[in-house]
Amino acid sequence: MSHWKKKVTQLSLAGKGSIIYKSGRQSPKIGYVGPEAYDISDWIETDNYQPTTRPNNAYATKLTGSYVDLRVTSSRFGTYAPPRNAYATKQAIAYTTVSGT
Amino acid sequence: MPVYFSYHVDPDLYYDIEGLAAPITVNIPVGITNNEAFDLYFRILIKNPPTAWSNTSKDLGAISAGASAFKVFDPTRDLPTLTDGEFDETLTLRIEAYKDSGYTDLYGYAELETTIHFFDSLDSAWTMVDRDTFDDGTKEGWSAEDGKTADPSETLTVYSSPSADDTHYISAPYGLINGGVSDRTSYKDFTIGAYSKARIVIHYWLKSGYRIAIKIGDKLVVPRAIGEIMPKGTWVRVAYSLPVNATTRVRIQVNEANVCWLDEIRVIAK
Repeated sequence: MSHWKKKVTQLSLAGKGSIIYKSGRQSPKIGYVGPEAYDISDWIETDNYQPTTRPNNAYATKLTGSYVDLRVTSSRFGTYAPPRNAYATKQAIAYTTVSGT
Repeated sequence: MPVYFSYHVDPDLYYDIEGLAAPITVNIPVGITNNEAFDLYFRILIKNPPTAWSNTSKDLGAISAGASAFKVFDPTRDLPTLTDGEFDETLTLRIEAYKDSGYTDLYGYAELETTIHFFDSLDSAWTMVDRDTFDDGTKEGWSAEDGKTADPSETLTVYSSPSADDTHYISAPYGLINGGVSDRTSYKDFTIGAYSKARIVIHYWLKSGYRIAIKIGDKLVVPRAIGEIMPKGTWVRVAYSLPVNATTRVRIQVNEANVCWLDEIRVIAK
């Protein structure tokens, strides 16, 4: 378990809807387009961790903006669930309605 | 705390009060995700609201375990008194999550500070850099480009080949209809010179059942998911900041032919 947590601290979105995963000995950070990287270190169960193995199915539902609902599935690792929490994200605009035809 | 509150794109908000009567409604969309194993009931409020504000707390209802949803917080306010055409007000928004529908068993909360930049787009303190009314029957520089260039995550075909049209408008006799050429997004480039600040005001009318995405420069300020929940069949006003000493492309993307009109696009600076 400690090995995984040491080597893989983040999984993140890179571009629309895709996840890039890195494993190996160097810092395994993965870029996420947005203001936040999403630290999922506390999601991971690492009993079967192998440094060279990639998750064979990683997907994310991007609600919008700076947070994601992300799960990683691997035949080797099993399915990992998000931490128990709640997120709110204020959107970029405020709107109103006006008169017109 | 197991609750987090952040912002999408920009911590600030922009709001044009031109022509509005008191009280004004400031509609603020908020996305919420419940990653808990049980349903949560959310409330949003303005912490220590200034006296000018009303309806400063709203129960948003339940979001099921594992679900996400967009909600709209819609506090109202007296018309702000502007100085040189503008007034900035900083608020602390607070999101609270409860375990019960009676909102008594608090699960957690989080706060977020946001500054609302109120202004009047027709106030003489601002220079009108560009104003598109389409009333001369032209497109006033609006065009279309290939693809879903505002929000590529749109799952349906988008349409544009804009032209002046008299079906819907704010200023008679024309607005700008989005058109019917598939896989096209409407856009216009706005150039702001040597000013200290600039704003853009966009008015759109979208037919019920469709959705819109708005991108200002590289900022997707209205993702399609937000455009989906915003009002339909009425004129909607959205405002945002524009960079100065720069040319910025503004993109309007709609997922059906001939369902969206634009009018009174105002770019102001000072």
